[in-house]
Amino acid sequence: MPAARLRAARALVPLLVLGLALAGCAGGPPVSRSAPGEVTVALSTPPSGLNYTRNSGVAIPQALLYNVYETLVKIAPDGRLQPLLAESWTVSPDRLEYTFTLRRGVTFTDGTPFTADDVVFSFDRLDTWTTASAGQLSRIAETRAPSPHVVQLRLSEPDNALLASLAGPAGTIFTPSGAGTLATDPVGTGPYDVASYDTGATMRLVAHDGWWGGRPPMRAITLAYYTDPTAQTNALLTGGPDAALGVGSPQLLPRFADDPAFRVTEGTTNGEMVLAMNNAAPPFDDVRLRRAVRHAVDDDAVREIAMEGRGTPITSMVPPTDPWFDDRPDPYPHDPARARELLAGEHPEISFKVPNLPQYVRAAQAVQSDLQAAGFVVDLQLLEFPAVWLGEVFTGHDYQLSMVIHAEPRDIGTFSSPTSYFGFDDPRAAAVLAAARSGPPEQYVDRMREYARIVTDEAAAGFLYLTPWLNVVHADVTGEPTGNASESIDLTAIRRAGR
Amino acid sequence: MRAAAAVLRRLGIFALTAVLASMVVFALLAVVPGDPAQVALGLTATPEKLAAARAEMGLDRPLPVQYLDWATGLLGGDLGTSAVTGRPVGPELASRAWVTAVLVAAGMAVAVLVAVPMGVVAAVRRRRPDGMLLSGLSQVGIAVPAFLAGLLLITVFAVRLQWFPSGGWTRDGDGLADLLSYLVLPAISLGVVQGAVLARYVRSAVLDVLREDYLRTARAKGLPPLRALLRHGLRNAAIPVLTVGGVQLGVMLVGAVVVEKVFVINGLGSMLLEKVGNRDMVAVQGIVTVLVLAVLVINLVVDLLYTVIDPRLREAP
Amino acid sequence: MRTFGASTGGASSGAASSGAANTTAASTVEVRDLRVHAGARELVRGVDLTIAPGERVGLIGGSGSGKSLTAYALMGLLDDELHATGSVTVGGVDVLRAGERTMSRTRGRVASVVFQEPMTALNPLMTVGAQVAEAVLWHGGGSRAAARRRAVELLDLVRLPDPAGAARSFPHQLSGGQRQRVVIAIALANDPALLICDEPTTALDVTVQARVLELVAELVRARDTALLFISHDLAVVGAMADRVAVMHDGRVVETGPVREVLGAPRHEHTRALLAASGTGGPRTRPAAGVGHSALEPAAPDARPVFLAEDGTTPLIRARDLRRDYPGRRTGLLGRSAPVAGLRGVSFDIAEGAAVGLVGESGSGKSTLLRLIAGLDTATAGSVEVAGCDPATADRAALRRLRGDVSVVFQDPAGSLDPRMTVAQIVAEPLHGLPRAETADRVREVVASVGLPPDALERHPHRFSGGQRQRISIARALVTRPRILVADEPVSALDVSVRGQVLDLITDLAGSHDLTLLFIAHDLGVVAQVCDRVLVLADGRIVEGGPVGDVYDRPRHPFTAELVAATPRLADALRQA
Repeated sequence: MPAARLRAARALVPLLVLGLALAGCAGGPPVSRSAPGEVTVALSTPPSGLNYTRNSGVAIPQALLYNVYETLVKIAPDGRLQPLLAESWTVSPDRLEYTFTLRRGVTFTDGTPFTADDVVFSFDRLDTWTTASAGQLSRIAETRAPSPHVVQLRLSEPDNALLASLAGPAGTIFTPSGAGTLATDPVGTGPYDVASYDTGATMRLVAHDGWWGGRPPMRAITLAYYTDPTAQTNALLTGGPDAALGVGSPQLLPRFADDPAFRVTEGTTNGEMVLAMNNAAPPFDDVRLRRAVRHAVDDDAVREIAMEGRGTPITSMVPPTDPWFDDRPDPYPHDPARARELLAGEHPEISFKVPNLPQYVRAAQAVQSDLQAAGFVVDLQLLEFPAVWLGEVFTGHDYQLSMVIHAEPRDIGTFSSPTSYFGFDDPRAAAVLAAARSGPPEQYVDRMREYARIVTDEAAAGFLYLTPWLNVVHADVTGEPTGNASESIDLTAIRRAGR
Repeated sequence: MRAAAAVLRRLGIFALTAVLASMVVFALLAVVPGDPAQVALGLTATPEKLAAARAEMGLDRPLPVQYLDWATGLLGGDLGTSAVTGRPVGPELASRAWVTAVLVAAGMAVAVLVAVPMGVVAAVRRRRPDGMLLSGLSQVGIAVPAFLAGLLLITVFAVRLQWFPSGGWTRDGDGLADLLSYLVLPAISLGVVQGAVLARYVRSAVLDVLREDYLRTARAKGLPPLRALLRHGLRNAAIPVLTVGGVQLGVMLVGAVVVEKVFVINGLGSMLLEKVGNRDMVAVQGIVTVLVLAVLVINLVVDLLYTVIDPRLREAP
Repeated sequence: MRTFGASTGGASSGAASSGAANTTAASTVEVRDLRVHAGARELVRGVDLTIAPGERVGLIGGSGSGKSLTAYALMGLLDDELHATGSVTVGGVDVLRAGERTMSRTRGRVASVVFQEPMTALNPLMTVGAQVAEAVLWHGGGSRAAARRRAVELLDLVRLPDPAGAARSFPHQLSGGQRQRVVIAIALANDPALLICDEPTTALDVTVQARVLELVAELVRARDTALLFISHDLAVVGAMADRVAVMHDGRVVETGPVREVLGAPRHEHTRALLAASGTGGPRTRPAAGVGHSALEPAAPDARPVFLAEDGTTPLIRARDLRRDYPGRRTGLLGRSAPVAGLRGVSFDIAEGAAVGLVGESGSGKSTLLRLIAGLDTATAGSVEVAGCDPATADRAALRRLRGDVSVVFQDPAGSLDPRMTVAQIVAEPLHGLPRAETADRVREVVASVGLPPDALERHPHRFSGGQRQRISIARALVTRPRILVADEPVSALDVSVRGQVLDLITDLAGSHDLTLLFIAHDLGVVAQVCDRVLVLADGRIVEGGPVGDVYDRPRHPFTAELVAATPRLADALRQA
């Protein structure tokens, strides 16, 4: 059989030559297939549904938040908080009472006007969410509507993270009339409305004509999901999508970098590539070995291999867009000699369970060889992602070393969550985190930075790099998000000149 | 009457096969690690929330109950509502099945258009260079994987020449011309390989027919060789080819998975991959049921075509 | 009036055809030094043959003698890999040099051919009428409707009952004889100057053969069509032809008027063919254990019984044997009435007898054979073979019975596994014997059927048809049976080897004390081997007795018809 295959392969050569010859006669720049006033945006991860109160897939809020659903406040692409459905707000001196003055003239896409009652309705049903992001607003004890355009929140204890949490999916303002169709027909106050979603394929957003911000820039936006980077590249080259946002494979970018028809940009995200260690189980219940791992792994080399050198070096689970970003040097720089020293002649055997996706596999192989060089014996196992990985590593805690991107914003506090798969049970860190959240607001940022330092110094995990936000955008497209600091891919300003 | 009996028998077999297939799929999904609630909650999951989600999805009930629930719905024509997406499975399945059906039909058309002339010429001119060349080409065609053919076609005809889109499918408001432009390359990459396989069967069927006495009779009447073959040979050769063609349609349903991926076409294949990834049991079972139905319908149609072609089968019991 | 003008693509058909007509006035077929090569091998080695208009010429010879190739060459239908040289002129057309265009106007219009196999000669997917009409249409027979009407006329001409209905039938709805009539209708559709018949009736029952031959003779005579009749059966050729050419090894070795060539053959091969064709009439041998055989008179419900000697039990004893087959499914639940294969037959066969079973296909011969060999069970009645009734026997008795009864089938090629060696094939029925003994027995039996010892390790495809039938016989005899059942054992063989195989069977039956049950549709063959004969018709035994009595004084009309339909060379010569 191999001989036959070989023979067949040899017979293919003339065909390939013919193909390449034909490919040599290049066509012109791609002509957009989008209708005038519309734009088609290529994305990489399709949502598995539309209801983020039931499904925590990051792709759902990426598509819907700010674009379809709106919140009282939003996080702009540069990371700053801005008013959205709330025009202004005041905080009581005890920091337990927030009063928001709501924007007037806002309607939902089904025509119902937006009032303070909708805020009350939305926050009162947070406990029906099965996804955990609702927990970020668990300190809201009561929501009141003293007038149609004023909302008061009473907190059970002060929360410095409240406004950021209100800017996330948990802060979404629903209308009672749309609550029954969250999975099929989302109803929000945003500039666009979901016209259709062919699961896993394309989502069509059409302009919400009664949007409070005026006429949305585009008549329609089509989100086209490409799970295969090659297919995405080919589509871009042939005028399928007008822009690809959050491109997952930097390997394909050089194809566009020299092409005047396209702009290639790089920004930051909230996605930290984390080298997770199970702090609760041998051998990584020993901080010495965790530090050995941190010294053994060459983060820059891993980033070079996995991301072609793109992305941002980080020392903790904090992106540069977070207020408590810390630019101190890595306390555990790449130092194989130091790693070997810490191991002291031991050769710990480690099971390394990695999601079976290309970007993880490439990085994991680099990590594996670094660790082996330092003296670890690493058994690399690929697990189906997400289903098997989540069950075995994330929920089952049945792992020693793993790797995953944590894409939620301001998520470093997850280290002190009691059920966290990190198994990082550090009372001092937990106390600092609690104080940061409830203490005086002027200390919030410093305490968060302190918390992040403890996590890093304890070597609770490795932080390999921050995944870049890569865009390939056709020259006639403007206003696309150049980074991703929130949980939304903010398309409210995207616009295509075109014909 | 006989046809009715045959159809009834076939429907019985279909029902049985569908039930067995859905049970097997259900059992497999129950055994495979990973559960839909887990996938839905992802990196934010906490044990309490997981339990709540499992209860809401009905995953905390015993497996037989879950299965019977789905099966009962199916009897009433309801393919169920996905616990993962919260959306009914039926409409999505219908639109995806339609896409795949069009793709496979077009692929089969390409396969037949390739196979019949190629096989006939290869058989009639089997000792001449051109006939041998065609036999050789069909060998090569068989060895080309559909995804490679697809990538090659995209590189040349979509990226470079820009004659066709590199992938995708029609949107609302597109016309037949748009559909064709999306269909050409995938249909070719799906059909050429199967066409090459089919050509070999056409060739051997035609070779068999060429040896038949009735072809000699036709020649003795005065018909020139090609005319005798076309008038008396092709229909006879079609009988064995039809069998292979039916099997190939089934193969193409599977091959469509690859082609749909390469061309970013949202058919049953890509749906199946996505739903298995999300452990969306209800959707996967719906897809499997549709696929089993498709294969059985193909078999039924092939059998009916036999009786259309061959008068001898119209009387047999 | 016919015009034979070859339309050689020229527009001036007048001049061309008149020129051609001059040559055809002399002869319809003119073959000079025809040679056919397959690569380096020469299969036809210089044949000369002339057929005058309306003349009927027989072409005889064994298989491989080149007679069929000569016919194909006349039609220009040789396979691609065959190459013909010399000159062949048919109806003025230079066949070997004419292009496909010319030949497509010649075949079916100037010269037509009827082949051997009526069962496969028609397209199974097209109605008979359409196939006949096609022959009319192709040669410019006017409109489609006119061609259809002409097709029905032609089917009437070949005497198919209900020609209009037949035209709408598909070939599988017609019997073999009817299909051959359709092929004849196609061949005669355009009134050809020459009709070639290549063994047209070999595959048909003898009574059907007689009727088809009669039809061909009549039609040819009525239209003054020249006939080239190819057959291995000298009696048939004798009846059909005025003149005969004998072919052997690619050459015509003897030619002349039928009476001269077959009455006083000069060439040794002609004499050999005559000797082999077994026309010598019934040949009896003294049979063991049937000294006092008596026969009941043959009434329609007669029960001819071969009584064994008083006090001895017959080896095979059948009483009221019936076998019904389930009727065709007619609907969801319904079935038509059962079809009777055997409608109650009773007979005794004494040990050592050689009994022929004759009858047309469908008469129940094979059903009876299967019942006796224990391959099938009766619907009613009983059969006892060597004291054992297969219907009630236990497993051990049944195994013993299978050892006692061996069967030799018609088609030696089809019944031998091509992947096994002769030794393996012959040893197959032996179970549980020690290896050495098996080998001894196989060697012994292979020698007894006249195969060389080195045959053992070879595969069946290395042997000729006659040798393969010897292998089948060896396989049948290796279990040392008491009864040998032979089902048309020579009908697939060439005439020249038939005699040898029949002699072998006769000799082996004598030397092994076998009781022989011999099924054939050819009365001559039965006469050569058997001393007793049972005549079956429509599932009943209509007559039975010593071969000579039955043949010379048939009492049942069916037997009489069968005997009359059997071509006899002597009769043919008398008429010629």
